[in-house]
This record gives sequence, C-alpha cells and structure tokens, in this order.
Amino acid sequence: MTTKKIIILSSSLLLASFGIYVYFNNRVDSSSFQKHITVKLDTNIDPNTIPEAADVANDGSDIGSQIAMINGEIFFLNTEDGTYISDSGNIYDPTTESLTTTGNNATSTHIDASQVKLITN
Amino acid sequence: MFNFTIKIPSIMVKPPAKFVNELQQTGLSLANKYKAQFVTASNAANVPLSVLFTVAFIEQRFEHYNSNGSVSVSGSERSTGILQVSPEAALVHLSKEIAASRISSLSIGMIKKYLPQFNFTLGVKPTYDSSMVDNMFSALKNVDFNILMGAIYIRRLLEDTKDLNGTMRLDKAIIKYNMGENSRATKTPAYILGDTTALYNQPQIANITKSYIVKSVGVLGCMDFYTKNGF
Repeated sequence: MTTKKIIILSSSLLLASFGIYVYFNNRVDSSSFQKHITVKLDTNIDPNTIPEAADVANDGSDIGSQIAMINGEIFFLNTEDGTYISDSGNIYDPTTESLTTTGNNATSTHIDASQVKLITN
Repeated sequence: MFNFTIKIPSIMVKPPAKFVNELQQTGLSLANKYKAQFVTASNAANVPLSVLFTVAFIEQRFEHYNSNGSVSVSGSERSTGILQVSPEAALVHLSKEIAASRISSLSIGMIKKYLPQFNFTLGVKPTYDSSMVDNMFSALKNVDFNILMGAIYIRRLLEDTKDLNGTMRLDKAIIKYNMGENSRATKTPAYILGDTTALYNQPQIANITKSYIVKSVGVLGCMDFYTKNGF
C-alpha cells in the first residue's frame, strides 16, 4: 500500500469516527426525557483563588460607548474587538461588513458600512 | 446506562464582582416573583429549577415586562419575555419534541390553553404555516407559557449537547440559546470536543456569550448560587 493510500484511508477512518461521535453525541431519544438531571456542585473550591472574568457585555464597561442603528436595531460597540452587538446578541462586524443574527435560523448577511447609522460617538 | 449530570463549576473563572454582588443580593427575591410558574415548567419539562433561574436572571433579571407594561421583546427574531424565547425557535423545538413524543401531559395542557391553533399528534411531526409563528409570538407573551417553552427548549439543547458520559454541557447549550442553533461558534473543534475553558477561549464566541457562560457555570455564578440555595 502506498503512503498516499494509507493517508487517504487514515483520513477516511478519522472522518468516519468523527461522524459517529457527532451522531451519538447528538442523539436525543424519547426515553431520555424521563431522566432527571442532577446538578453536582464542587464545594472544595476557594473562590478567593479564582480569577475574575473581564467586565464585558451586560456589566458594561467595554460595551456601550458607541451606538449604531443597523436594520432598525440598536447595536453597541464592543471596544474589545471592534464589533457591534445588539441586546439580542446579533453581531455586526464592520471589517467584514457582515451581520450575524442569533436564533434557530442564524444567518450572516452583508450590510454595507454606509447603511450603519452611528447615533453617538 | 449513564445518568445526566451538570457539573458546577465547569470553568475556573468567576464573574465580575459587581455581578456576583447583585446575584447574592437579589437572586432569591427576584426568583420568588414567578416561582410557581418556574416550578410548573421545571416539572413539565424535567429541567432543574437552578438552570431555569440561571437563564432568567442573566437574560432578564426575571423581568417579563418593560417599565411601560409591554412585554419585553428584542431583536429581529423577536426574543420574548422573561426567558427571551424567539417564536420561531420555540416552534421548531416544540415540533421536534412532539415528533419524538417528549412532551409531558402537563405541557400538553398548557399548549392547548395558550396555543389552541396548534394541532398536533404525539409522535408525528406537526406542520404549520408562518401565521403559527405569530400565534406563538402572542402566546409567549404569557409568562407561564414563556417559561414552559423556554424550559422545553433548554431541555432539548442540554441533551443535544451532552458529553458521551452523560455530563450535560450547559455552556454549550447556552451558546446555542444565545448565539443560535447553527451559529459559527457551534462549528468549531472546541465546541465539538473541547471543555468549557477551551470553548471560552474561542474567538468565534461573542464576548457577551462568554460573559453569559461565566455568569452561568463559573465559580460563584448563577448555577452555583441557586444550587447552594436548594434549587
């Protein structure tokens, strides 16, 4: 067997096993609905030794200094990465001019930067 | 056969002190406001109360209404009310659960009450037209139905995203709930195979969603708080 064939065969096996993993991992059957979910809390952690996350999003210091209106929706500038984000989590990236929506049918749409109306600076 | 568990904390980071203080001061009193409705939905959809309280606190601080009395609705997808459920996502997931006969009799009673236009048979995938999305939108303005639909959606997401050993990944469920079922964050290797920390470090995940994860499953986050308080 040539090296090329071995590589192709190995790659195929890897892809197949990945597919099986995803299938089993995402399997939801009707009987599983009856199972209760147990929350296991690890109480052996000292919170004083744990680092604090950056203050972004709802808590505000990194978001909210600049407001833009895009497709009738209010967006706030995230100064950390330069994107704009709405309350519902929709994101506009001015570098790629793409608007990515949230929800079950998430979409990515091209919105020309000229259509973005800055409300405050 | 494995059991379903959610392990808390799942990431060794804690939310900003401002959030932790707010949670500790208001988390219980806010949860009391609609506690009866949450208990009903928790039983109907088989989801721990701590999970539902976590989402309600972070999404809306348990507020179903705006200050002017109207129901809180945001975004083009019309995320509605206390659990910010979008009508389209609610219908899609409700239909999946009906097709799989994963709907309790308690839930059926509430669906018939608040969404009488929605005809379905357990075990059969329902069909509906776009007007049903608007009917669902109206129904979601009722707080108890909103909580139930959110609970059904979250239960499904938790099972969809669980690890092979049955450990449920509330962090992964939150990404789908907050960023979308098919958002680019869900296509990354870290989402498919990584732990919460690996996921948290992914650039494809919006900062607002990262913040949501830490507030939910981090040290001193909402899951920690509500579980310690017996929910």
